[in-house]
Amino acid sequence: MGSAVKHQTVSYLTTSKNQGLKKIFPGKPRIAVGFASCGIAAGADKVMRALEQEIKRRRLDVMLTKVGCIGYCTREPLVNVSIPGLPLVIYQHMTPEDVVPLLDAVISNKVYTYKVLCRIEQWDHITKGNVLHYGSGWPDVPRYAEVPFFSKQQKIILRNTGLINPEDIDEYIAVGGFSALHKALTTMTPEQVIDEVAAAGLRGRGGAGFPTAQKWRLARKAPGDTKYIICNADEGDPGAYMNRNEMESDPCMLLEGMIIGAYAIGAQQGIIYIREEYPLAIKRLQHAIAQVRACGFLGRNILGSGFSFDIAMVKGAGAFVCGEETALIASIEGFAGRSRPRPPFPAEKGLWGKPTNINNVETWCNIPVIVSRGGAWFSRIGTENSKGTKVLSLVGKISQAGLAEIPFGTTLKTLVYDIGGGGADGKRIKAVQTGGPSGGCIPSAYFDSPIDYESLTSLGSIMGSGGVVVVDEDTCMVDTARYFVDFTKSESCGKCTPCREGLKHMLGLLTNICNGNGNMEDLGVLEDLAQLVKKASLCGLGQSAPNPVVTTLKYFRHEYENHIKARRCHAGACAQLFVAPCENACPIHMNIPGYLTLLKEGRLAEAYAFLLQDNPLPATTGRVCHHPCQSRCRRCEVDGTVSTREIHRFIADAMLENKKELRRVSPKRLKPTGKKIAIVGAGPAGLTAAYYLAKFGHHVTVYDAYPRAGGMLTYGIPEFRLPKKIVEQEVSIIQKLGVRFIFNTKIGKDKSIAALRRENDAVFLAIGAHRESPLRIQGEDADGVLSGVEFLRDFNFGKQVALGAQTVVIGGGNVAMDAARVAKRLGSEVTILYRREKSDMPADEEEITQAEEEGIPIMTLVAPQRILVSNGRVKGITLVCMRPGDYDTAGRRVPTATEQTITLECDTVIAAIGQVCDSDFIGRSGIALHRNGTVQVDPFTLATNVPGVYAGGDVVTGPLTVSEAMGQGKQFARELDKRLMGEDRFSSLFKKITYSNDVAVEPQGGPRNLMPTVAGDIRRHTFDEVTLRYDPAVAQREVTRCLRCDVKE
Amino acid sequence: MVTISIDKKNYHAEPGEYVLKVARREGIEIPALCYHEGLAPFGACRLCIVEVIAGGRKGITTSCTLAAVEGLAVMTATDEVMKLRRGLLELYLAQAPDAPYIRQLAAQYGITRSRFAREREKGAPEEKCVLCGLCVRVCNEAIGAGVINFIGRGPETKVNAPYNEPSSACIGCTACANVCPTEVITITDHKGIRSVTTWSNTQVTLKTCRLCGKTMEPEPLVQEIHRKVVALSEEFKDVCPKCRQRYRTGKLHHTDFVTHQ
Repeated sequence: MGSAVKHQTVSYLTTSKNQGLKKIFPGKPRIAVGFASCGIAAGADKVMRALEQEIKRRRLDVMLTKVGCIGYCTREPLVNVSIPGLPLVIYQHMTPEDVVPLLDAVISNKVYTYKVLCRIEQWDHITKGNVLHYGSGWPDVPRYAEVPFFSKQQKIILRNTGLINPEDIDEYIAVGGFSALHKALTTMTPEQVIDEVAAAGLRGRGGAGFPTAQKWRLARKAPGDTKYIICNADEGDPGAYMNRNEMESDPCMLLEGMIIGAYAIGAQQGIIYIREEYPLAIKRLQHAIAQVRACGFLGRNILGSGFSFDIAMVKGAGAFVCGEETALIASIEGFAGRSRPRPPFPAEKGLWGKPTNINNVETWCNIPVIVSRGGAWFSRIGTENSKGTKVLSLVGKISQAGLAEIPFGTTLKTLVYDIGGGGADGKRIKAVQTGGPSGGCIPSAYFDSPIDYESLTSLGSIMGSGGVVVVDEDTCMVDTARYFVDFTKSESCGKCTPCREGLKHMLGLLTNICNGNGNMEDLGVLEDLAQLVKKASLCGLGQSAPNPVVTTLKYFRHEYENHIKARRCHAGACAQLFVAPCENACPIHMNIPGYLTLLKEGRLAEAYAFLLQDNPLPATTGRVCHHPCQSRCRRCEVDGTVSTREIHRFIADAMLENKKELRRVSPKRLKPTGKKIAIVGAGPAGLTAAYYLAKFGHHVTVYDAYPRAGGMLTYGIPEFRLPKKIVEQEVSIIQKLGVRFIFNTKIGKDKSIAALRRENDAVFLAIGAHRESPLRIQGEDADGVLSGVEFLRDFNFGKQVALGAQTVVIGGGNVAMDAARVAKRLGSEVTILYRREKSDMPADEEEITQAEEEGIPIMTLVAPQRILVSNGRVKGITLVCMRPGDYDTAGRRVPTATEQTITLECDTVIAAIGQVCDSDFIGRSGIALHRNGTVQVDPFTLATNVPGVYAGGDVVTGPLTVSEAMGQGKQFARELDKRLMGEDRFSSLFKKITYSNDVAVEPQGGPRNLMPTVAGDIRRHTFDEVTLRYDPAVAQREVTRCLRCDVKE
Repeated sequence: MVTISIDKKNYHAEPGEYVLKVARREGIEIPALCYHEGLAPFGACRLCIVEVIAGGRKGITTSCTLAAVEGLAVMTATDEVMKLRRGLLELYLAQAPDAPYIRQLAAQYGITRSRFAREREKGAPEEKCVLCGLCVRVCNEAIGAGVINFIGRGPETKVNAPYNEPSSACIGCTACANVCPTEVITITDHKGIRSVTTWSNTQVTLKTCRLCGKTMEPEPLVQEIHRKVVALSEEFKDVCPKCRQRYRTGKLHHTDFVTHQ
């Protein structure tokens, strides 16, 4: 393929161009399969074969060809179809099964709508005067520019990839290829070429970002006639494959850039050093070199200019370090790839001692476009100091992965959320890792930052070659740092001591931390080693290898501390630090596989005793816990999570009903210690702390301002979600341990914190967050405007609540849902108003669904503007319509006000937009608070700045969940006992209960058994429990579904 | 001649002369493990680092590879340099805990224990090699025998003969043992064989003096010397230096040198 015509004059170039255009527009349907490595890996070869067979069988007059990759790798295999006179259509996720319907559509000039991605009516191939017109039509098919993945990109380097056949030089010439070479060799001097590159402001794309023209000038000026240019195609960063696509999908572009560059520098020989692990790129380049040579663009006297140049290829042999230029040169020379000291720099003394200019693949690829359109044109793209575009590989925990080419200055936010579509599976993105093993991690809070050399460096990372790895809440940053150091340590050439020995020791320290054997001193040693390796290493590999460690220590130090102090890995990656993913996600770390197995073995009473080891309120949490365990359950990948929460509710309910069995479960207490602890607040945090401290043998007194225990459990969550009787029963178990409750006593008013400190060895403040945030709009003082928390509390107290006939509830959290559902049951028409989108609502999904099932509509994207008042009473509310605006750094669209407003009639407004802590009295006694009123504590001991005073639950975290508050209570109790008694006595609180560790090979039990629920239209009239208990047989089946992720051998 | 400044004092140097060499000549102390005047600079041990403050690329660099130019100014013992040097010595102590020279050098800089030293088992092989590469470079560059080289990559790097097998290229010159700073290389002569234990027990036959019958230098070494250094006349070729000396002092007559074969 490709003409063997020597292009000595522009007329021959025109001949090839026309030949190429005839292949791109063959006058009949052209079907092109995306045939780069990613497409082939996804099955493009099977699609190609199926197409070949079917076209042959039907004897269709259709052209079938291959093209490279357009970059949208998540949607591979990609096939594009061009029917004469009609737009080019790109099809996605193509399989052999799609071939028949696709061909049916093609021969009838129709679109195969099932797999369509977008249409292209015309395409600018950037090199001057090369816009191809395909045709207009099919307005229902989205345009290329409307596809979010493509819309913010600017394709200059990737202008041809996925549209032309990389194995046919005619097609490259047809879209403007080699016109730049012709222009350079026939109308420009070498110095003029360098001037153009200087005007463009091009910086090296391999990672260091050194000004390219400056580097070329040094090589040009170096004394000597023999000079070399090298293309560094050893792309080694894990996750980076931009260069691979550039070479597989448009190899002639690289060659043209190198030939122009060699002309500018005065080199006679060019070498492409390409990693051996890129066999398709090697093949395509070899093929392209042969074609380019046959055309006369390589060899002697190119285009009659007197300039002679040729290119050879040298393959690497699996060493990341050979991407470093001195090691690369050593490798070409036949030596082992070990770095050499610089100076002398390669521009002065490089390959075989001669002046050598090395540039990355993408740097060379920028040259034809700069020469064709001019440096001034190029410099208008990008920012002040970073000109042009960069191809980035967007990979990792991202929804839409692929290659994205963006102008410098595009923000990380745009890249990750607009182009990338946010986190995979809707998870929260934690950070991006840029620059590969030489780079650093940038947390999502900094996603407003533009992508350019200086900005990324100032954040502690580097641009690198363009790999962007997205990590989410399931990624452990300590493990990530460990992974990169493991990589650089094994890729280190080993010549210099700091890199060879330093990285080895850094890996040892990181591994210890990941295994739970680290201590705080290790962090200081790690930092010292990082500085030593950075400053004293011989080459760039060592000098940049500590970067992932340095940035994760800077931005994610709390993760390291968690691994060391609490021996926990929240992300659930470090297997030594947790029992199972569900247990790890549980705020109170219940041994979930354990109780599931005990029930499976029919040991109900032991299962209950086992629950009580980690959870003093299993029946309560079995109803209201937000079950983070279920979102991490590995069974989700088969057929849905295990109903963990529902099972421990079943176990607890069964035991609570059986008084005889219950009596046999006598909670064990250790010997009395003589220590006295005061707990302020009988909510989930306080109750849990009381439970454990009483079991430890301490003397515990719990104060509460209300008449009964429970906090939000009693005075917040309504009866139909959590019957008060259940709470009472579980509290009585805690009382039986000897905990003293003093009700109707408000600390800060009836008794001071100072007094508690005097009378006790420790004080735990767990008063929760019970004050509603004010709406701050006109009319909020009128009669009929209620606070959500107060409304629920008054109702739970048995007070008469002044509720009208038409209620609006403002808010999207659990308090809003509860308030709405209570109001509905009390007979009011209720509407929920929320200012963002439904998917942004913080309430549990079940609460939202159940509210809607009970006949409560939810209006989204409305924000309260003014409450309309008449005679001091609420009569309506005016809302501003919002629209989803730009993304914030967390990936949520910022609601932006529009001009439109809506007015609703109502007589009651319940505000539930967020709760704050009533913590003034705490601050007055000298305890440090955050600006939002929450108490400042040490994250591990929960100690405040005042000795002997601790705090936990919502008063520390702000309004969160029941189980998270319990987790803090448990943590406080365990840490306090360690301090008071000098050892960790936690495991001595419980009798060890064992169970079988036999695990079935196949997943058992069938699909998930959902909890039976009373129908919405029935239950909204009563306060009876919404969910009904499992049938014992169903529960028995459900527990067999556990995959026993805790059994590791 | 150019003038460079080391620790704020001026010194003369040949243009292009390496700063470490100048320092050594002027009696300024800069430690190094992988430097040897007779070999090209390697830049591997990193101990000779200095801080360039003027006249060149500013920052930390190895003085063994830093060429003297007019106006170059370096500092050999800034806080940063000393901190890095001490860190390096901690790494060396962990790598080669049994090497007296390393312990001595580290102690000189106040390092007596390393945070990275591991508990070693009883009877574990002595660890002394610091991978300075002097043995490799002397054998390849200066002697030209090419017996040994680095094997492997990264922390697994070792020095040995190819495939960890005894070498037939070794001429038994002992240059490697001579340049090793940490006494790693063991060479023993016994019953006419020179055994270089460290290089997989490479064995080189020792030559025997035809006059006194005692063993002398290894056969291939003698040949190499005759080929490259000084060509002795026939009658002296198989005679040991002691006997040659006895001829020179008249204790032996030249007729004793006539071969009796």
